[in-house]
Amino acid sequence: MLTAPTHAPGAQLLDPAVLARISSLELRARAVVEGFIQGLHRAPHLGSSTDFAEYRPYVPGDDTRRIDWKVYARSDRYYVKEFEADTNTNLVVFLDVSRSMLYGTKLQYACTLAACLTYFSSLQRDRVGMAMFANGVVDFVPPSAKHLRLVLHSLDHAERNVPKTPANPTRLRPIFQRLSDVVRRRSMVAVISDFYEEPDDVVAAINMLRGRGNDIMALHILEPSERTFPFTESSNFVDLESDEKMPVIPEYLREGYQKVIAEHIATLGKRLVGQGVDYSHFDTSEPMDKALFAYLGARSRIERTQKVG
Amino acid sequence: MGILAPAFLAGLLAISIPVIIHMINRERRETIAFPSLMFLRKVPYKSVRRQKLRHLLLLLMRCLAIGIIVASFARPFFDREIAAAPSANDGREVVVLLDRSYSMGLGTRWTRAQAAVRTIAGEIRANDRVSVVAFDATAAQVVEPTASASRVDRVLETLRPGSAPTKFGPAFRMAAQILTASEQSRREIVLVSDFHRVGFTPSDEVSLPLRTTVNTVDVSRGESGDVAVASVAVARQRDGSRVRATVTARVTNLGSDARSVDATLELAGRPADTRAVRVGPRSTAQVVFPAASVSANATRAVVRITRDSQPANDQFFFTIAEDAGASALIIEPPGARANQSLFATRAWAVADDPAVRVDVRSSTAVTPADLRGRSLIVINEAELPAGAFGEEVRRLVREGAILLVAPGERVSLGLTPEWRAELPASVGPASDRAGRWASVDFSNALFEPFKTSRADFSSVTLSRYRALNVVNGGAIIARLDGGAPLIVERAMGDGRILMWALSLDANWTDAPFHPLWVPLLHQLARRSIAGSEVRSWFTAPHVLDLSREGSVLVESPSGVRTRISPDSAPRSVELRERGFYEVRTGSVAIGAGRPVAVNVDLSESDQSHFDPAELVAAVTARGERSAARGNDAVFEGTAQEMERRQAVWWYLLFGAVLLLAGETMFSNRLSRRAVKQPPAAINEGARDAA
Repeated sequence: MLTAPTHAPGAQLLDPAVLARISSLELRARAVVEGFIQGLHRAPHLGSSTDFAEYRPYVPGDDTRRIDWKVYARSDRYYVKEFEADTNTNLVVFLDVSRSMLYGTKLQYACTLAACLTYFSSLQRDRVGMAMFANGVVDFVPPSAKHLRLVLHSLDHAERNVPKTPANPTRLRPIFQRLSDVVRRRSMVAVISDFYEEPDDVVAAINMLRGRGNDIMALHILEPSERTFPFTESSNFVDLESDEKMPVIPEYLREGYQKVIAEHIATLGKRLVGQGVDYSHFDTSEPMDKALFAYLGARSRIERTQKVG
Repeated sequence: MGILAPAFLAGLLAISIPVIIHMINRERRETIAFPSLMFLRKVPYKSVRRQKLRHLLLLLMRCLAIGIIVASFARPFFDREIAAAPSANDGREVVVLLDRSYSMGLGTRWTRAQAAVRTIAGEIRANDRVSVVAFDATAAQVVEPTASASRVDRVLETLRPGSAPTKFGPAFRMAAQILTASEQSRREIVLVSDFHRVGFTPSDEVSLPLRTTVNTVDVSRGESGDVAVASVAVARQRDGSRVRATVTARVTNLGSDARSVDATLELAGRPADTRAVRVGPRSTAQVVFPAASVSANATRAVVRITRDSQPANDQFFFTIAEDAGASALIIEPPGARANQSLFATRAWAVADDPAVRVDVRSSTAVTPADLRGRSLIVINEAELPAGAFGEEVRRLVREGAILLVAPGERVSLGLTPEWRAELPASVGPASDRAGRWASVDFSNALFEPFKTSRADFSSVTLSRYRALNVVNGGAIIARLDGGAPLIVERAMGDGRILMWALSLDANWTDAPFHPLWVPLLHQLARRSIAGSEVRSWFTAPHVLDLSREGSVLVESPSGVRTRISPDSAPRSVELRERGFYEVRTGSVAIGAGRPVAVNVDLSESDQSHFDPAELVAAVTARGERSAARGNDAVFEGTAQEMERRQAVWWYLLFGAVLLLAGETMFSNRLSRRAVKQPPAAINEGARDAA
């Protein structure tokens, strides 16, 4: 079992404040991931693609390169050497780029997190893909072993995909229903969002993705001020997504708000974990290694499942 | 509810100030972009509303405070809604104001008035109180508060119309006193009168207690005016040692029909002559009676006309006596100029009101006998008399005569100590400075006739004058344009000493040629006999001053005797009855005293009637709020009650101060609850996006 070192070498690079000073997203992801890996004291290539499974008779259509010629010399029969399934898996990051993600450094944090995951996954020789959604799917990079740079490029320009004008708030269910169709293979799906939707709706939407046996990671990103509500002056609060306005006297709302959003986070985590989803709540002031641990945990689960299967 | 100073209500515009500030603050409220309001909406909204309500409450408090301050300065007052102090007695306090002016004697007015009062008294219940105030020009409470109708009736039998005119003001004031002292909860005034228009003037200050109901009983029946003797004029002619008087009577017809009446002159109780006269409607005719000899003492005289519906004005009482007039003695120096006193003697020679007897004597030839009966002594450029004669002059002045000193050029500067102590000014050298008569003191009696027209004395020029230095508290009553005194006056006993800086001829000044010269000298003569002249008649009511008399006995026409002793106060008697009063001094026999004639005020004979409701409206000062109910109305309260009704502004101001104090505390409390704003960076990205 993998355990996260508390003070891993290079862990300071996981600090968002330090990362924010690195302009290149790829460089940022590399700094995070390689620092993370150094802390693990493990080989970076964790794939099991060389594990032998069985021989089976050759049938027309099989790749002739997979014929074991040594067995043919001994038995004068064509056998194809089968390895244990695919050693690589897919990682698809579903990134929320709705207007609510513009609040504070949430989008920047989410992009960096997505980049780290894809970069880390690429090191594992996994196929990486990415989908951005707001009111609908606004960008999609199909999973591929060669799509790391494409994903990083898209992430680098994620802000362009943020809707310019307020519209209806994001609804995850129809979006994920559509995305479930484009993710054809069993994959690891990392959903990075602030999840401004009722927990029931979020669970229902994520369940749409579980249909093909996908392993889901729900990465809940929030600004600290979204939880603590530290405002003091009475102000007009404007909903970034719908542009609705609401006069608010913070000092009278703070306590109730903190209670409501804490309940929301707790309920969301409880419901998603209950559904077998890896739920992680991220504060933009927190390091990103938690996300990487979540990724590794999910991947190992997939491997175990495949072996059992 | 009324407002004394409605102009202050313009200050209500100031309420817009906090509203504008509130709106400006609201406009300037910060906008914060937030990811989603879904959780904010889940928070119970009442806290936000409460805060908004608090801000609205703050705004309301500020607006209310301004409104109250403005309202307090506008001086609101309650007109009748302040509840009267709870009274243990639920009865009525009725004050009957009974008009007994002489016009009430016209026709059957007095009978109707008595019947009205009896009816009112008959309606008095056991817990009610009624009092009666009889009034004409003055008011007197003839029945103390009582519930007994018989007592009212007994007093009513003794009352008769008087000789004075109607004045409503004193009656209402007395009624106010009675009602204010009353503890009855219901206060009522019943005014029984013929409602002469002359009886009330808007300037009368009438202030009745709160919730006083006024009922009126009008006893007039539209009677037209009658014929009255308005006045008489007596022209005296001296025929040797006798004085003959010609009486001219003015007979006025106040009615709308021409009337023929007989006018009779009675002298000393005997008819002297009767003349028929026809007087047109609303016009006056003169009746001239033949001249008759009169004695030195005052003779009683009456002009009577044919009796009509109003007998009080059918007789005119007056006295005829030799006109004492004024008597002037001019003392000249030896070798005086020929015209030195010419302008003074000519001016007084033409005087007739009063006639002035003038004698000119040389200072060397004048004797004490020349001073007898003099009211005016003029020292015209002569030395002031010394010795016994000087003392006699001073005695005369102390008894009321006027001494006019015109030093001219001849009077030396040396004065006897006696004169130096009495004169209002010392005489300085003659000044050659030319000038004008600049100013006079119009409040001085000498210039009283010129006060109304503000006569211009500045056209009087002069070439020389003697400097007068005021001493002994003398008063400067006329000045030259350089400020130098022209006339200085000082009282001496009952008389006066006047010093004139010029001469009495035209040597130094052109004053003798000025149109004001003759009237000024006539006024000087008139003033010299002021207080000593005998008036032919008085108009009731009149207060006869007897302070110069010793112990006197005054007998009224109805036979009421009043003794005035030297130590009684006041030393006067009120002449209220028409006819002849007799003033007797010492041991004078009955009937030989000095007669004093008193007549009624003819203005009361004018039957100009006015609506009682108009009277009510006039005395309330705000007639539109008097809510006349038939003849009823509610008067304003007394001055104390008015003050109490207006005192609401103090409470308003106090309330505003409390409100502002509460607003300050409330506002501070809200401010203290505010905490520090979070770092701006938190919202920076969201603001940029918004």
